[in-house]
Amino acid sequence: MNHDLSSLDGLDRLLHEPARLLIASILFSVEEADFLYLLNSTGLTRGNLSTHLTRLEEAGYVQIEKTFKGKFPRTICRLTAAGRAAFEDYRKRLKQISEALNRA
Amino acid sequence: MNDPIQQAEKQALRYWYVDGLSEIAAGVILLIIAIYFFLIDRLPLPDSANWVTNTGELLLLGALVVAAKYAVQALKERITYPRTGYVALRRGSHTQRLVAGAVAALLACVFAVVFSLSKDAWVRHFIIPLFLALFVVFMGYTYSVRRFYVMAVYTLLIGILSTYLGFRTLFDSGLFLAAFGLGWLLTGAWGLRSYLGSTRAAALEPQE
Repeated sequence: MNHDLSSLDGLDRLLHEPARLLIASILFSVEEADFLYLLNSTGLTRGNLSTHLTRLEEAGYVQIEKTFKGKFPRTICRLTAAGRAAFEDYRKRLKQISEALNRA
Repeated sequence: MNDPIQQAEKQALRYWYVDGLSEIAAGVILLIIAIYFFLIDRLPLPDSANWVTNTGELLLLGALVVAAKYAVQALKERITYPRTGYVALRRGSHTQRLVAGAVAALLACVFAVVFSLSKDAWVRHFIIPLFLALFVVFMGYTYSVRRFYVMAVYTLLIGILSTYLGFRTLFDSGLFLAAFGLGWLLTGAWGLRSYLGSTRAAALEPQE
C-alpha cells in the first residue's frame, strides 16, 4: 500500500460514519448548538440524532448539557477539546488520502 | 468541492439573519437617531452647544446599540430558538480580529480621503449612500441573504434622491436616516413574516 494511503488505516471510524461526520462538522464550525438546531441542520430524525450524539458523547468528543430556558428544555451540544483534535486529525488524514489518489 | 466546514460556518452566520430581528433593531436605532436630529434641529440652540448635541448623539447611539443587543437576544430566545434552535458562533481568533480591525480602519481611511478630496457637492452627498449600499451588498453576499440586495438598491435610490434634492441641513440628514431606518425596518419585518410563516414553535416537544 502507498505510504500516503496507509492513512486510511488510521481514520477514526467513529467520525467516519456520515451522520456523525455531519454533526461533528457543524459543531466544529460553531461554539455550541442545541439539539433543535442540529436537527434542522442535519435533517436526521430525533432518534437518529440522539443515538449519534450519545455515541459521540461516550467517545468524549461531544459534551452534552441539558438545561432549561424558562420552562423550555434545551440540550446544548459542543465539541470537546478531544473532539476538535480528533476531527482535525480526521480532516488531515482525509486530505492526505485525497492528495495521494490525485497523484496516482 | 465545497468545504463542509465553510458551509456549516456560513449557515451559522446566515442563521443570525434568518428572522429579520437584527434588521428591525437596526431600523429602530436609525429612526430614533433621526428623531433626535429632528429635535435638535427644532431647538433654538446656540452654535456653542454643538459639542453637547454631538456628544449626546454618540451617547445615544452607544446606549441604543447596547440596548438593541440585549433586546434582539431576548426576542431570539422567545421567537427563534424555540422554532429552529439555538447556535452560538465561534469567536474569531486574536489575529482574525486584528485583521478585521485593520481592514475596517483602511476602508475608513479610503472613505475619508475620497470624501475630503471630492470638490463637487453631489459627490460628497452621494458617496455615503453609495458606500452604505456597497456594504449592504457585501453583507448580502457574505451571509447569502437575498433581501439585503433589495435593501442595497433602496439605499442607492434614497441616496440619488437626497443628492438630487440637495440635502444639506441636520433636518435633511434626519430625513435620510429616517428613510434608511424605515428600509431596514421593512426588510426586517419581511424577513420575520417569512420566518414565522415557514416555522412553528417546537419548544414543547421533547428535545431528546
